Amino acid sequence: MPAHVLAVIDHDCPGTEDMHDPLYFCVGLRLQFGGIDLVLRGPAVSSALVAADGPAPPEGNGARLPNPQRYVRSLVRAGVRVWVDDADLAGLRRDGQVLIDGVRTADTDAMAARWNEYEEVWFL
Amino acid sequence: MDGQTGPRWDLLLVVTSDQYGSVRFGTVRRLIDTALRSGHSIQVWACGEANGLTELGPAGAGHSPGEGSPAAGSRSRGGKRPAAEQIGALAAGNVGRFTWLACQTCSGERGAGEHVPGLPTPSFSDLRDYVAQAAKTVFIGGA
Repeated sequence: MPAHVLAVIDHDCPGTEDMHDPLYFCVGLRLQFGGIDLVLRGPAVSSALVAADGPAPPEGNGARLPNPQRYVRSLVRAGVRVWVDDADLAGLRRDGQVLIDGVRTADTDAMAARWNEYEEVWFL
Repeated sequence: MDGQTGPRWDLLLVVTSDQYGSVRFGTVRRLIDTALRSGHSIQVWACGEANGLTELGPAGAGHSPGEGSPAAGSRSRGGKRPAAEQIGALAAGNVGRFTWLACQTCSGERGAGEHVPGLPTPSFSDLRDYVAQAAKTVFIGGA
C-alpha cells in the first residue's frame, strides 16, 4: 500500500542542513505527513550510494556519512520506502559503490503510472 | 489557521532556496503578480534561504544570500531588503488574496531577526494545514 505522499528528487542534493536542500526538506516532510515514499532520479541517485568497503558507522560514533547519504539512511530507517532509478543508477554508480541498505531500484518512469495512487506528489 | 475544511486559497507556493526565491526574487514576484492579476489568491511559504527575504534589521547586519550583490535579498540603505518592501506592500494591498508565510522554524534555525510586521510566521509543523487549505500546492524551492 503506497504512502499518502510521494516525494521525487531529480537533481543534486548538496547536503546542507537547511530547508533548501531537498533531502533535508524531505526529512521535514516525513515528520509532517507521516508515511511518504521517495524516488531518487538523475544526479540525486548518488545520494543513495556508499562505498562497499567503507565503514558502516553506527549512529553517534563520530564517523559520519556525508549528509545526503545520512539523510537517505535516516529516511530508510524511519520506514520511508526509497527507490532509485535503475537506469540512472547504472550510469552513476562507480566501482566499489553500493546502495544504502533498504534502498530499492525501479524503473521510475514506469512508476509514474502509479502517481494517482498518492494523495500528493511533491517534486522537491 | 481558521479551521475551515475546504481549500480557502487557490495556490500555495513553497519557496526554499535563493535560486527562485531571493537572489532571483523576480521569479516569485512574477508568479504572485500573475496569480493576483488572474483573480486567484496565493500564499507563499518561505523556508530555508528564502526565509530571509522578509527579514528586517539594520543595514549590513545579519546574513543574506544576496549580500555583496545587487540582488533582491540584500539590504537597502534603509535597512530593509527590497524584497521585504515589495512583499510587505503586496500583503498590505491584497489582504485575503496574498499572504507571505515566513516559516518560524527556519527563522529559528537561521538565527533570523524580525520579519516584516503583520506577516504570519507559522511553524514548519503547520505546513500540512496550509497545504490542506490550498487548492493547489507548488514547490519551486530546492537546491
